[in-house]
Amino acid sequence: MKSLLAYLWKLPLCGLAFFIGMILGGILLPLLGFTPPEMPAGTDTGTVTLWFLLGSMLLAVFLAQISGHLQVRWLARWGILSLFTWIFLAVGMVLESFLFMTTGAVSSIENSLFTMLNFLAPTLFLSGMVTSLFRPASSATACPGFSPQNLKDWLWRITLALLTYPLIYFAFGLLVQPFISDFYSTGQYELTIPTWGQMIPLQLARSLLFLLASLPVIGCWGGSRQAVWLSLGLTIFVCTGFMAVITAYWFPWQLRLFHGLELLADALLYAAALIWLFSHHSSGKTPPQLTR
Amino acid sequence: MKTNRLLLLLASLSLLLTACGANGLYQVTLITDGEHQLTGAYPGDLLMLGGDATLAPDASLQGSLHLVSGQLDLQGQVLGDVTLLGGDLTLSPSARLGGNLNLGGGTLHPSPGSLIEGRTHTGSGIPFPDLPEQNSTSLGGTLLRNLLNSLLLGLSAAFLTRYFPRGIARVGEAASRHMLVSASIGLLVGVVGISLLVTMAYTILLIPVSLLGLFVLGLAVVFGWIGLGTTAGRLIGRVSNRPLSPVKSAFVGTLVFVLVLELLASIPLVGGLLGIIVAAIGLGAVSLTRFGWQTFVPATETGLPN
Repeated sequence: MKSLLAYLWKLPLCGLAFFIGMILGGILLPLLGFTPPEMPAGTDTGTVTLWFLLGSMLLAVFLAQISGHLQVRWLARWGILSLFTWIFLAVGMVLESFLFMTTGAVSSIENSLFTMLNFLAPTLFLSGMVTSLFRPASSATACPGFSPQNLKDWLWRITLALLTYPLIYFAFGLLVQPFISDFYSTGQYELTIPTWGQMIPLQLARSLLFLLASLPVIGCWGGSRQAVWLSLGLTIFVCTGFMAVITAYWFPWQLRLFHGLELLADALLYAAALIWLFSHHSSGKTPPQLTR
Repeated sequence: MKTNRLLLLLASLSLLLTACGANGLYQVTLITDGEHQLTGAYPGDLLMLGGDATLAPDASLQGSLHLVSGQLDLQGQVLGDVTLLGGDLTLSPSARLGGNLNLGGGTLHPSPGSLIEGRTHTGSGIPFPDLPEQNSTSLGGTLLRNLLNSLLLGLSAAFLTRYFPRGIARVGEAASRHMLVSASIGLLVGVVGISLLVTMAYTILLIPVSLLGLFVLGLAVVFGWIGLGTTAGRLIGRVSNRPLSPVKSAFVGTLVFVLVLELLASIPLVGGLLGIIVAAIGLGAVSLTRFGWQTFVPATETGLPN
């Protein structure tokens, strides 16, 4: 109970850091000449902020697990976590929404850029707080590295990894399609259906970004492969599923539940594929404990 | 590992938050008995199954009104359609109907001042609401979907064989060696289960339990298919004289099994029946082995009590 309490008091601090980042982003971006886009229909700023506050604390739980296992110094850990969170939470989500939604936040390139940048400060603040509060116990500073040893190994693994994400994305997407396609085909909740010609390049681009964001986590992870798989997969789910879909409270529950399940499966399978392709076979290693 | 399990549980539980939402829910006001004075704005539909109600001049119903029985004095505004199937509906001079007035029964008492913006349909002329049309899928799309489904189930089979080998083997054994028993039990579980779950859904309160039950039933069918696919994988290895590792055998077997099943299911009439039978065998095998947790041993004559 004592250790749980020692853990729990840090989460509101992480949520607060995210919140301060949001306020800062909201002040800075208009000063840089950006115009804030309209909020989605049927939403209000207060409720959206509350959902994000809850989401940021949940995200902190999962980021803490990653932070506690990264065998690098503070600055590198902060950079890795910030890049990972920003790519999965903001860039990936905006790219996806740009084709699947007509809502103000992604209705134009300028608005999409605003939305992406709007998450930058919260991401940096949250990652900084998590990095400071959840440190690895061991003081090792060398990354364990990756399983590919030569250029040929790297090439085929990267190619496979790039193709894996779109494959997983379309496979699970098609599985949930019967439950949610009506919302898209009838254009409800500012949703729309892009063409295959738009979707395939987009998913390949997202795959590249996701790979770039995930590789530092895999390479610097000090612990078992099973632990990195679960931590990576679940953190990806919280970024792509929880923060982007489940917090979208104005969507009907069917849309949020089936997309949530889809994104959970996507994230776990994608993480498994990345671990299989790039992680060292060092399952016997004892994972370091978090310092509190 | 304990922490990771907790995190997995936390991530799964976070999906429950999908139940918390402001919009997107169907809302209905149900009146079955008593006297009611409705004032102000009412979101959703109004369904009257009895009683006596007045929609005051300042009241505004955002959805549609369905009067099955009882008496309603409509003095305010209804934005949707008004459907009269039974009972008495009085349209006061201040009544405003934004949609159509559908008359299928009951008694209507109109007033000269009431306004109906839509059309008035009587008897069999009541149109059905527009339903979204299902997009016809091309042959290429169907093939791609079938291939992805098979691939996904193949990967699931490989995963389950890696981490739950005995359970999968038990299901496969029950499905292949005791096919008739599995099919019978599967049909029984399917028919009884679906009937029970549909009945539960009528209680409204138990809708979540009903949905969960349907999910578990679907999961059982898929688990059964994986069991059958794994058995098929072993058979393929034996026939081709190239024994594969259990994980590879499960992947290949399930992939081939599901592909063949989907191919056969596309045959008119027979295909559908075949699909039901295979689903029943899978469901039965899973039920008999309690999701692979125990071996199914059929009762023998010698084992039966006198």
